Amino acid sequence: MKNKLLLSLSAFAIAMFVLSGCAKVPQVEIDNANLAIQEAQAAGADIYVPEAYSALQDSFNVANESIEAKKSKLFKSYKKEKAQLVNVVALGSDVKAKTEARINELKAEIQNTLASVGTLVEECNALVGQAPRGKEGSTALMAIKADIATIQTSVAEVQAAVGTESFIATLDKAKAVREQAASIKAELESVIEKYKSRRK
Amino acid sequence: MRRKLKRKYKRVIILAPTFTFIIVIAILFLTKDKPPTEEIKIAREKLSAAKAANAHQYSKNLYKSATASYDSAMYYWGLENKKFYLFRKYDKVQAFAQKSAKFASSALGQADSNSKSLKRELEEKIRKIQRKIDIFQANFDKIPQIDETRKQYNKGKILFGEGKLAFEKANYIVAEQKIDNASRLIEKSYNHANSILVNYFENYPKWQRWVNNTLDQSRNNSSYCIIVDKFARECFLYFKGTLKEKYEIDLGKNWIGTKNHQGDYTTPEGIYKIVDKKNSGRTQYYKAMLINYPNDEDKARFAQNKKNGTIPSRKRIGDLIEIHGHGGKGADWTQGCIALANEDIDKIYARVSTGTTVTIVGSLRPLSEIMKLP
Repeated sequence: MKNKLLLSLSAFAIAMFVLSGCAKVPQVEIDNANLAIQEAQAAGADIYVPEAYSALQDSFNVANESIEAKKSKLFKSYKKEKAQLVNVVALGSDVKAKTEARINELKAEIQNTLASVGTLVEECNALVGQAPRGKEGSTALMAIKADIATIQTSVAEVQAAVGTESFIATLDKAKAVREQAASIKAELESVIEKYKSRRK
Repeated sequence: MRRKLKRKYKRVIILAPTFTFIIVIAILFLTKDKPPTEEIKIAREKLSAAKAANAHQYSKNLYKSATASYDSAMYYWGLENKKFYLFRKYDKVQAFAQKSAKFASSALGQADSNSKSLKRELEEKIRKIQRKIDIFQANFDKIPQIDETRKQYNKGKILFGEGKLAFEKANYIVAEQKIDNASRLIEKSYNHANSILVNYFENYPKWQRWVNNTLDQSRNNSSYCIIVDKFARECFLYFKGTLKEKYEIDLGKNWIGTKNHQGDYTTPEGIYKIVDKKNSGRTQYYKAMLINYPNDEDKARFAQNKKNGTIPSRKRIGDLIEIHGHGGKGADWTQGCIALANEDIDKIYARVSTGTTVTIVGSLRPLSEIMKLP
């Protein structure tokens, strides 16, 4: 009788010990998810797709919290958390791909903008040729020529910034240069238009 | 009997600690801390909301504290979970989680108010810079020999464009940086160009006097007179002191200031007379009216400038300043003459004669009025 009682107590204690610690923390999945987040960040996800990157980090935090919550329980199983972490890895790859796609989009947009600036500069140079000239062939549009030179310097700066600065900032710079080039062209066109209308 | 008693004691000795153990375990189970799952979840959700409101940019310190508290909560939760099940205490974890949620809420509020106030500040800065750009374009664009200033101004304009793009995307931190840099460049070039005009317009009272005298003379003598406003690029024909016609003009490229010597590409300022009228056979500029530059005042100034060395001794005073045709180019291209479109020179040529007064001034309007944009 005494032995039976001792035996059942021991069995209960062992069962408790085993059940409370039998499930292993999904460390491999945690490491993989961590790696996926790091790779997305290294690709620039926090800059180019910030919302998707925040959602990725949030999913990882949810999984982490869930793991700790399970650890706090006596009887645990990490099946659900493993699935969550696998999802984080998949989401990480997706975010990384989206980042790369966004970067490619921005690069293309920068090149298109620079190409349109190039066209505007050519058009401005052609307009300078049509602009009114005075005595001894001297042109009254030296200032506008200097403005065009500033645009060309700025284009070189934008080209140098591609890859060294954020593509978003570089695109904004290119757009601002284009706006300036367009305003110079408009200025030139108005001078020439005025001149032509007075000559009619 | 003794044997029975001994067995009874033995049973008590064995069972008492066992029941005590069970009772202790039961008490520990019943008094055990609840895992802080809810508090951590709330902290995380508040942190996400704060980040979505860009608290990491607009409320850096509070957001940083919220993140650090969340990380601490997770760290201590992990530590507690390493302890034996029944001995885990989560009060520290809960405290950090609650702290994180509190910081995150404050960060969210602060980010909202900071971004709104930064937006308002930037709107004001953009408005001010845009006004300076408009004034620059309207009034300073034609100031000669300010190439370096113009270069700075153009760089500033490009930066301003970048800043406005960042502003439109609600990226106020980047916008502020770009707009402040743009403001410095634009402000510097604006001030330089403005100082040139301010100095030039110091002559305004003198110009007013010349114009009033000329108009009085026109009224008293019932004669025509011509008033030239260099800044406005306009030429006015008056008869008996009443305005009859207004024409657009082109000037010399260094139009600011009065003519000092030959080849300075400046249009003289003063009261002159038409001394000769040339038709197309006598001028290459369609029709021309020669004025008596240099007059006595010009000659005296030229001599004085030569004396004090502001004009090199080999320089000559120059002459042949005319009001002529081939103008209407909308550009400053003459060597100091005043050019009108041919149809305009026709009109003015037909009405005036030698002896008509031509008063050339920097401006008919004061600088303060010019600076007021329409």
